[in-house]
Amino acid sequence: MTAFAPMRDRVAVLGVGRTAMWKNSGRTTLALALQAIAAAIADAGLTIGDIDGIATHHATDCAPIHEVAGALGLTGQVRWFHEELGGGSKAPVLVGDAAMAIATGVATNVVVFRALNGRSGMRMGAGTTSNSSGGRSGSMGDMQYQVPYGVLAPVQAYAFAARMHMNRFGTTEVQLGTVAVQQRSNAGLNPFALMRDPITLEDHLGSPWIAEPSATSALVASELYRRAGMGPTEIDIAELYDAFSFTVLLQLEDYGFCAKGESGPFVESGATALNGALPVNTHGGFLSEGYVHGINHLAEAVEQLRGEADARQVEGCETALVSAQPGFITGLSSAVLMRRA
Amino acid sequence: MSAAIRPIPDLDSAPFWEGLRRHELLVQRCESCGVLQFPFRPACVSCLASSPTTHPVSGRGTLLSWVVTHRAFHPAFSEYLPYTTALVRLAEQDDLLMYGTWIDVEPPQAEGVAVIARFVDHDGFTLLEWSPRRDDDTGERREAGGGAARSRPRSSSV
Repeated sequence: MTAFAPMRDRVAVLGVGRTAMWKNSGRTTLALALQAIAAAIADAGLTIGDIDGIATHHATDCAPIHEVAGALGLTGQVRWFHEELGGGSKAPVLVGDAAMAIATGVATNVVVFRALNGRSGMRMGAGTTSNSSGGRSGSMGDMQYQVPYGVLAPVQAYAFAARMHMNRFGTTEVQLGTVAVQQRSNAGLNPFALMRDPITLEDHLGSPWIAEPSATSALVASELYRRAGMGPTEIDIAELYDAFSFTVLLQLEDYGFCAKGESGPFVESGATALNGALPVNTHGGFLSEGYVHGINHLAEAVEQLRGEADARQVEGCETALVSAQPGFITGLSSAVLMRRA
Repeated sequence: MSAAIRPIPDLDSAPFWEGLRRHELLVQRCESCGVLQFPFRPACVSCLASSPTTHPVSGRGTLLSWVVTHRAFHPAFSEYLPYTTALVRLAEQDDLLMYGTWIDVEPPQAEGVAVIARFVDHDGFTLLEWSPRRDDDTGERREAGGGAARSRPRSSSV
């Protein structure tokens, strides 16, 4: 494989900032964005005058980027910006885009943010039944072929893939549940997490079914490792997009931590627990910390790499993988590898 | 079980939905390279030639996956919970995948089961049901067939 690593060791994450997580923040997304950005700038040891780039992604559920830039007083100093439409596949690629802007000299210090009222505002994961574009030249795209049959929500789309995994590899509900239990255990050590009370496999298996259980992240993995000049054996922790426990299993295979079909036993062995060979979603992930579309996975990776994750700190954490939603729904995905400077 | 909500066709997919209305199952065929494709697109996904034509298929395939849904994401499905939706690989080409309501006594137990499509008319639109294919199924049935009574839609479901 030809080496191609134009961003490796040329760009650094200087700081992270965040608000608390709430089920209902009672605040605008603009207010949330400003607080998190101010905290990140302070954490980086910079001032607002040092920022010349800004990037975000959203699903029209956040104040637009020009309003955020304006409220920060950045309007006259932005040399690069990027406002990406979309959700789960976007957070790592935004960091990559910012890194490209910096590596090429287009920008010097870029702030990447994501703000949403995901539970109290526009709700992710609900059913889609309408054509949001409107009119006959608009389209609800490929959803039109499944919505009439009652397949309206992302959880159902992933359940089709999970069912295939169970059929082909013997993956069990216990193994899927182990993902949730391990992540809740990690969240118990994370003061930011919304859900910290321990759960057991029995709790998980007794919870009501919502939907029983392509394209994948395998292509992303091969490009990522090429550009980073690294491979899965050199990765200390993995913060994997976990909108559902099945996506964790899928990515453990696609990113090469275990063979295809073996993610269930891999998780069951304890390998992905906080004290395992490859701690996964050390903050609790979406399943327990909160659903912020992936930027919280990035923040957790930075805290782990800095050795600032307190009770949930992974000893000797030098490298971290952060992934986006595997492409089962969108066909596109992204990931970023970071290491301690 | 025949809960359904009305499809929202677009300019590219309209021929597919119109075909179902006539009880014809259609995919697209590229006149340049001969490849079949589904879902409907404005151009061939293999060679980008424009205006693929419609191409009838047999309605036979194999079960690829399925989902049993226990929560209503739309009120039209509330009274049918739990319901099963199938994802089927059409016999004509490996990458032709199509959804539909699963009609059988039980949810399916195995991938790869041979299945056959049936057309179910609702008020102003037609949808697909998939069920296990038995020896006497020719794949050319053009009616809701033996399932008509149980799958006849109620107006409240449309």
